[in-house]
Amino acid sequence: MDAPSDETLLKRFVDGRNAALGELARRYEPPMLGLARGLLRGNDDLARDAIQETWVRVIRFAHTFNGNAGLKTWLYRIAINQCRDLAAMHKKHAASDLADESSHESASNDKPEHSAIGRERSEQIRIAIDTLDDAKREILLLCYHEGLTHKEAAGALELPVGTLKSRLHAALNALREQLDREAI
Amino acid sequence: MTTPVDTHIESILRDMTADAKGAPQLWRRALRSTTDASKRTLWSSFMHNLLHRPLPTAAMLIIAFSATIAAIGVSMPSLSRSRAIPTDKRAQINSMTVGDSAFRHDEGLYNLLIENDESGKFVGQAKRTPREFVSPSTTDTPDAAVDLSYSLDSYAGGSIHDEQHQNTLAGRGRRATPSDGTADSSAHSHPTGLPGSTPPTGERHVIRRATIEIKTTDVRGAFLKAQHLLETGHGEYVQDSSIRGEVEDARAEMTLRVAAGRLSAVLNALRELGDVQTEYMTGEDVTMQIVDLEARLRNEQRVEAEVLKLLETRQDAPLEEVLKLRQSLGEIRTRIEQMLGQREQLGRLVSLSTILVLIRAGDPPPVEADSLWTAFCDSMSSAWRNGVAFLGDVIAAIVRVLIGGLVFWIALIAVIFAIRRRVLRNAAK
Repeated sequence: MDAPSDETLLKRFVDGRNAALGELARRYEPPMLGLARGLLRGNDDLARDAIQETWVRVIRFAHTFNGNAGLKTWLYRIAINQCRDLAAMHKKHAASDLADESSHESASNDKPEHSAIGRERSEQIRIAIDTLDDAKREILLLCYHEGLTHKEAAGALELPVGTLKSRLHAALNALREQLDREAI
Repeated sequence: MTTPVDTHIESILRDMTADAKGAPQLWRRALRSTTDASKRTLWSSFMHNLLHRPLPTAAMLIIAFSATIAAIGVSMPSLSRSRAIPTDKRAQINSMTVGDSAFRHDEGLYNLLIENDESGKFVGQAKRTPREFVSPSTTDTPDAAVDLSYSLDSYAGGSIHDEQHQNTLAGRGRRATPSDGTADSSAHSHPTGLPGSTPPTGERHVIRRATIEIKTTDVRGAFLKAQHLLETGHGEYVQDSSIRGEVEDARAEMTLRVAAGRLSAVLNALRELGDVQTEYMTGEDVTMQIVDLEARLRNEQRVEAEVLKLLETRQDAPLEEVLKLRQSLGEIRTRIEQMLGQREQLGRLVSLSTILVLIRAGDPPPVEADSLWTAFCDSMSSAWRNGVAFLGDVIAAIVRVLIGGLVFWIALIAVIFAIRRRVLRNAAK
C-alpha cells in the first residue's frame, strides 16, 4: 500500500486525526530541524523553538492550505520565516554563540575527505560561511540542504528558479573570495 | 565542474543542515499548546506576551489601569468641591419682595409679612398695593369693616401670615380714624387696659414686633436719624442701642418702641435711610389673654365691691367675721392689683410696637479694574490652586480605589500568579 501523500495526511489531520500530523512530522521534522540549526548558526534551542512554532502555525492554518504549492514547500516556507524572525530577534545572541562544534558534526563523520583536509580547513570554511550576509548564507544552506531540491528551495523562498541559481552563484563567489582572503 | 573546494564547501554546508537525530517531538508540543485554540486565542496571546515580552505587556497594563483610574477619578462626584450656596434667605426674600416703588414712593401704610418655615425656606412673598394700615390697638371708634385688598403677585409656597389680613377675613377689624387723613397717626392713642376700660367686643390686641435690616454707607448718620424718628409725646422711646466699628465695618443696632399706630410710618421712614436688606414682622395675638384678664378683673372687682358693702352693712358683726372679711378683701385687692399690672403690661406691649433696627455699612466702592498683568497673574494663581486641588482629588480617588478594593486587588494578583504558574508549568512539559 502506497504511503499517503503529504496533502492527504494534512487533510486527515484537518478532519481531526492527529496521527496524520505525526506522520508528517516523522517525514519533515528532522530535516527542518537540521535546516533551522544551520540557519540559526547552530543554536539548537532557537532551532527547536522555530520548528515548534512552525508546527503551531501548521496546526492553526492547516485548513487554509490550498495546495497551490506543495505541502513540503509550504512547510519549509513557514520554517524559514520562523528562523528569520528568531534570528532577527536574537541577532546579538546568535552572533555571539559560536557555532557549536557538535551541531555541525556531520551525520557521517567517517567521510574520508574530512579527515584528509583537516579540521582546520573545515573550520575556516564554516567561519567564512558564517561571515556571509544573511541572504547569501540562507541561499547556500537551502540549496545544499539534502531535504530540498533547487526547485523546492526556490518555492520556499518564493523566487524563480533562475533567480535562485544566480543568487547561489553569487553566494558561492562571495564565499570563495572570503576563503581566499583568509588564506592570504 | 566542481573543484575540491566546492566539494568541501558542499560537504560542510550539508553538514550544517543535516537532519536532526531522534524521534520528532516538537509537533506534539505544538499540538498540545494549540489545543482549545479557539478558547484561548486572545488569552493565550496575552499570556504569551506576558511571559515572553514582560516590559511591553506591563507598560500596556499600566497605561490601561491609569486611564481607567483617571476616568473614575474624573467621574466621581465627590471629587468636585461642594460650594456653599448662599443661603441668606432674608436677602433673597428681600430681593424678591416689593420693589422700591411700593416701599418708598407710595404713600400710605404698607404691611407685609413674610415668614420662613421651619426649614428656613422662603415661604411666601406678597406684593400688595399699599393700603391703609389699621392699627389693631383698641380705639373708641365703632366697629367697621376694614377695607383692605391684597394682590398676590407671587407665591413661593408655604403660607403667608398676615395678621391683619386674617383679621379682615375672619371678622371685623377696626380702622383707626386718622387725624390728618392718613392712618399713620391713627388713634392708637392710649394703651388699652387702663383700669376700668372695657374693650369693645371683637377688638384684637396684637403685640407687633418688626425687624428691619438696612445697608447704608453712613451707618452713624442713619443711626442718629432713626432715633429722631420717635415721638416722645406718644410714649415712644429707644429701648436699647449700640454702634460699633468704623466705616466699612460699622454696625449699629437699636430697639425702638413706637406707638402701634405709627409703626408703618416709622418703618417707611426707616426704609428711607438706606437699602433694606431684610424686613419682617410678627404679631402675637394676646386678645384672649386680655379678655380673660379683664373678665377675671371684673369678677374680682365685683367681689371686692360686695365684700366692701358687706363690711359696711355688717358693722355689728362679730369681730372674727369682720377680720375674715377684711382678710378676704385684702386678698381680693392683691389679685386685682396683679391683674391690673398684667393688663397694663400687655397694654403697653400692644400700644407700643417693637422695631429692631439693624444698620450695617454698604459695599465698598467698586475697585478699579486690574491691569491685564494682574488679571493674568490672578488667573494663573487661581488655575494653579484649582489644578493642585484637582490633582489632590484625583490622587485621593486613586488611593481610595486602591485601598478600598485592596481585597479584590489581592485576589486578582493571586489569580494572575496562579495562571502564570500553570502556563509556565505546561510550557515546561
